[in-house]
Amino acid sequence: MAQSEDPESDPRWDAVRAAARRRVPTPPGLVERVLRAVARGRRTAVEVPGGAGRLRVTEGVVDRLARTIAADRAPFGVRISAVAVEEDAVQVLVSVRFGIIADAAAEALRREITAELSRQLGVASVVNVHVIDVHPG
Amino acid sequence: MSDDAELLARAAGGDHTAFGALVREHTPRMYRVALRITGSAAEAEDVVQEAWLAAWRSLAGFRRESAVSTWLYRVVTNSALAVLRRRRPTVSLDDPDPQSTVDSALLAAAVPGPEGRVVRAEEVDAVLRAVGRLEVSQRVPLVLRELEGLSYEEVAEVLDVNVGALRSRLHRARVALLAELRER
Repeated sequence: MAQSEDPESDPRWDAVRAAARRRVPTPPGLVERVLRAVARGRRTAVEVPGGAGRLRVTEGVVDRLARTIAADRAPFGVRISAVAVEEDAVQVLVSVRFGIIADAAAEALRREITAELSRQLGVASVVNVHVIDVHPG
Repeated sequence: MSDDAELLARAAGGDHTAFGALVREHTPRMYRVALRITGSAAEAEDVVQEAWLAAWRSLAGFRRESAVSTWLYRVVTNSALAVLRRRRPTVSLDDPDPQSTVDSALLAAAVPGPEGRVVRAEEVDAVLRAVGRLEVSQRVPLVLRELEGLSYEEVAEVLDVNVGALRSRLHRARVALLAELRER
């Protein structure tokens, strides 16, 4: 079949060329978030004392762990907007579906993240969950 | 030495300002690639952050025979592939339509094709959705070659495959994409 042998000669391929020309805007603040993430990747967030020395965990690792746990444990109707390690605590920003009891959902998520972070890092971490938006059902 | 290579050499020596300059210059391109591979704005942002962290950690291992941009394409492609591997098999009801994250609103209603045929924004949306349905092994080279405009040699270097194998894979990807578009 001639068309399948040379897809680029098919008139539909014009749309592929147009897709290549479509501009994709960079999300506002992404560069700054990247630079902060790289800086966090260098800073020590947690020190775990041990018999033979200390284990140092960088903020980048704590951030990544918290982000993964938050995404995995978010209850129905809770959408994770951002996760960051700031002011010596894990800050989790969420949006809740309209009709969800926001403070109960946020507290359930906070307990889940706190328990799992403590289990994985071996030390207690402070976790704050902030409800910053409501999205439609 | 190119400007990028010089910045990278300074960054590898601990110059955070030089690293910041690389991030500012290359992040838009890396985000575009991540979005086109994952189809999700949220995942694309994570991919870009992880890619830059990986780039920072491996500055010292940069091979000078590669262009910096090609090296960064490889880093972001690998990060995107890692995210796709980790992706859970279910789709959250909370996720927005991935293609709505692409700038439909900013796109002119119609863009002329090279032969003057008018391509409507919906046709471009259909292409991007169809790209997202391709197998990952076809989608990634197709994004790099057809949407990013890299040469065969550059795509082969990013994916660490030989050019002959890449040409075959790209041909299959184009055929598969066209088949997807014909079904619409």
